[in-house]
Amino acid sequence: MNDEKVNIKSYRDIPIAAASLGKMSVNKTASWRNAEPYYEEKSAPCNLGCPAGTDVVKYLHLATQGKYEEGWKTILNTNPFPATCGRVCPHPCEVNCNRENLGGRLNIHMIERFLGDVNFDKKLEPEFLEDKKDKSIGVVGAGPAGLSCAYQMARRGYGVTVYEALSEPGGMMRVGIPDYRLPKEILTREIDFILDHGVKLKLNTRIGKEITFEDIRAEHDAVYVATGLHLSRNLGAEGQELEDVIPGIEVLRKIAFKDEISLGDEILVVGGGNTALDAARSVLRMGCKPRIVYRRSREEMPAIAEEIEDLIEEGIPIDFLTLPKRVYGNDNGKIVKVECVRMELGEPDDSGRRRPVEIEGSNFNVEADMVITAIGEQPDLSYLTSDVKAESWGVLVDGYGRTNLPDVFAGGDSATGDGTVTHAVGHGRQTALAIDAFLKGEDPPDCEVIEHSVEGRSMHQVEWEEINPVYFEPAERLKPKGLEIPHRVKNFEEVYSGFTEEEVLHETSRCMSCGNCPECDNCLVFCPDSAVTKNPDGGYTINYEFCKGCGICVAECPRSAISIKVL
Amino acid sequence: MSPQIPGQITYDIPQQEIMSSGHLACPGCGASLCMRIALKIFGPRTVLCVPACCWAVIDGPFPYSAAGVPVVHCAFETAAITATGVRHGLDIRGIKDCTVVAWAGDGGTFDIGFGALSATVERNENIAYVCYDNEAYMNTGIQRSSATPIGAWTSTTPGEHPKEEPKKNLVEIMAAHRIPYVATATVAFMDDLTRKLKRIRDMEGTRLLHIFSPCPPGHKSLESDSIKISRLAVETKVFPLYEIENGLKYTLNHKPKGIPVQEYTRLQGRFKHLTEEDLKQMQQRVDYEWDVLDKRISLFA
Ligand SMILES: Cc1cc2nc3c(=O)[nH]c(=O)nc-3n(C[C@H](O)[C@H](O)[C@H](O)COP(=O)(O)OP(=O)(O)OC[C@H]3O[C@@H](n4cnc5c(N)ncnc54)[C@H](O)[C@@H]3O)c2cc1C
Ligand SMILES: Cc1ncc(C[n+]2csc(CCOP(=O)(O)OP(=O)(O)O)c2C)c(N)n1
Ligand code: SF4
Ligand code: SF4
Ligand SMILES: [Mg+2]
Repeated sequence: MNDEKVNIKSYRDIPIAAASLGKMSVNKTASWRNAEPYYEEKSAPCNLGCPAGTDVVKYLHLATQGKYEEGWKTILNTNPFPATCGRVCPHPCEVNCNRENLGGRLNIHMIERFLGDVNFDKKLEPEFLEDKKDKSIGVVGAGPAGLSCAYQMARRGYGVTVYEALSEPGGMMRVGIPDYRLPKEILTREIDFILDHGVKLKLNTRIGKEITFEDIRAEHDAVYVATGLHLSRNLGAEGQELEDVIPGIEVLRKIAFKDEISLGDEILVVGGGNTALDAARSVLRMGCKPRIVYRRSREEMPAIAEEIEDLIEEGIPIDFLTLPKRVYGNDNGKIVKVECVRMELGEPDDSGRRRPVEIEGSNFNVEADMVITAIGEQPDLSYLTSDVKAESWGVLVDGYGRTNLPDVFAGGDSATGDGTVTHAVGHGRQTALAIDAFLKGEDPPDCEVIEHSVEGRSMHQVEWEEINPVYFEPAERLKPKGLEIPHRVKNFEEVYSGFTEEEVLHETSRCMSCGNCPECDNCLVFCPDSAVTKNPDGGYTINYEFCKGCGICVAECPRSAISIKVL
Repeated sequence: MSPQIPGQITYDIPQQEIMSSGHLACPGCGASLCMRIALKIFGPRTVLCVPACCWAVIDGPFPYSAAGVPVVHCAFETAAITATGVRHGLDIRGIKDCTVVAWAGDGGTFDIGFGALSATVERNENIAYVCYDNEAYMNTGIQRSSATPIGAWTSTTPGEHPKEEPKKNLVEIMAAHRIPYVATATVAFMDDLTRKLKRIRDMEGTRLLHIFSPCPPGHKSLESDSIKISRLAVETKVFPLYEIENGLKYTLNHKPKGIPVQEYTRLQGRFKHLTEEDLKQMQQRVDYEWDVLDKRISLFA
């Protein structure tokens, strides 16, 4: 039998026993259709949630198959710090995870951490995306933003020099986040990989001191500034000038560099952000008795939620809705006590959080011999020339990190208010793409597309309602194991251990690959009209000559990688 | 259904399409999908004996055919005996490598072809019989059959007088014949369906597969819901998946979740006239029938 129309011209063409002569494929049922399915990969919530723009769905899928090196390289494409971010990123990728409804969100950051760690010993050769170029950029600040930008530019063939004021690179990853959350050999290894790309690093070189900003502008075709927030805000209470009132970031930096530091016994830590928490947990580990005072309530605390839990678990008391009013010193200038006042929450302020107001007459004294201030940090932009537009909180930039000067770009904490390592990494990469475009005399690629690894998918975020849950079994989210409390508060050992391979595979197998076709064959199998075929090079094709538009393929796609339009 | 991990869903179904596109089934027709899958499993050396029913039309008009294998169109009541005749004819000619399949609707099986089927099973003729059950005479305009469930609307049991009699239990009747193999299946449980199709392809003697088959125009359901409805039929215990060997050995193939029957009926306009009270009674009936089956299964495991 063939696919062609059968021509019966006379009764002689009719077989003696009535038998078919051709296939029904002559009958093009396309005309029956009033709706049309089409393959449309969509964005998973994790992909849209990652500030570094990492293709999360892709690396999870690779990890599911045990392809750990490929998974690692997928992350390296957008983020040179998988092992670091797997540890310290507050993982906004997990916030909208559709697994919420089937045993809990996926523990994505632990998988990222595993991919970073499991490839620890692999000496990966740098991969360059483009040929070497004779243009160069200067990067001010070796924090995550600066290093991310340097990495992306080096991969694109540019000469890159990073100028760093401190004696070691890493920014707040090195001098802010303590060892018990991020062991420094992990950070060093990931920075070394960036330097392997031919990035020149000039340490102990503060712009505005050792070299001027004009000098590096003259030396390079473009400059990226990402100098972070390294000035601590004053306590704003009487007695703040006393010797033992010390900024949290200074304490943390000294601990990180193993510099000499004299600590008190009972330490009052003021603030509710990461600096406050890390300072308190660090001094606890050095044998002191820290106590936190924070002027708002727990809900308003800007620190990462898990860190707050860990701190409370470690037994550090927090006085919420409490404000220090006055630090009392003795005749030798040594702190003896701090007078505090209780607060209550009033109307919302500019930040949308309710403004704390003092409760009159609620003053009380707290014993303390040291005060660590951690009520916010500011950028030190004194090195910039006055032609770069900036405010006290940071350099003014557009979505691409472009300043008012065409060859000057800025990002990270000193230009945006985002305040996480991963945001800094994302800014560094996005701005690198903008600098690349500037140096080539082109327009930069679409902001939204470079912000998230779109890779041919639509920006539509797959919602739970679009998942067909029958194809997924409920399974619990695994949590990492932490050191016993009595042990962990005595040293700077990393608190949480990584997942075992088995745990990783449990988690990855829970991933539903929202919006992304892993070729499960459901559309192929369930089409009543044999109108779906599998492509030899991956994916499927709908034969629109025959599709009747029933929409079964759309309904049975477990993860919304097919859409339908009404005609 | 086995847990499905992204990228690791595996269907054991041949890629080759035997049934062609362009057939005349309505969009979303369960009967066309189960034929497509059945032919992939049966293979090209298959003869279909199709009596009057939707499938007699779906296959296409002379001189065309969609099945991709020989189809013997036969009279409404004769699917089983036509298949018997074809089998004997092939046997006489020494052709053993062909699967002969009677493929009939519920009307042709539960009602008009019932006598012929009973006689065929009684003689244990060497044929496979597939009844795709869309629970009414769909081809002629949705008239009730003895497979129509109680309470359902059809054109002969209108909403004011929905069907009063419960569905005939074909599987039990077949078991009472001590048929070598009888089983139920739906397209929503693909692995189960394909395993059973292989079983009826490879066995000797009469074997019957009863496939629940959603029909969007006849059930007044969405075309895209056919698989979902099939799945719910099983999970609500309305259509349990089980098999019986030699009329005595019962096996339950999927433990139903016991989802409320309403989840199943609400997707189908043929049940839309049912009141809360009607639905309560329907639930009780389903639970009762399930209990009976459950007892049989534990008694004759
Ligand atoms: C204690 C603490 C804990 C934190 N914990 C977390 C966490 O768990 N997770 C998370 O995601 N984020 C955390 N953060 C925030 C995060 O570290 C920052 O958002 C991030 O490091 C910002 O990156 P950046 O590159 O913009 O700046 P930075 O990391 O601050 O790097 C800026 C670099 O520029 C250098 N520099 C400054 N001025 C000059 C100059 N004039 N010349 C040359 N070099 C200069 C600095 O020395 C520094 O190395 C934490 C921050 C702190 C302080
Ligand atoms: C002896 C006889 N009576 C009536 C008919 C008309 N007729 C053709 S198909 C059909 C209904 C078939 O119902 P069913 O077997 O359930 O198959 P479906 O159409 O639902 O697929 C009827 C009544 C016929 N062809 N022959
Ligand atoms: S299942 Fe087949 S016929 Fe139905 S919409 Fe999808 S491609 Fe079209
Ligand atoms: S009437 Fe029902 S069973 Fe018949 S072809 Fe249409 S959908 Fe299929
Ligand atoms: Mg019928």
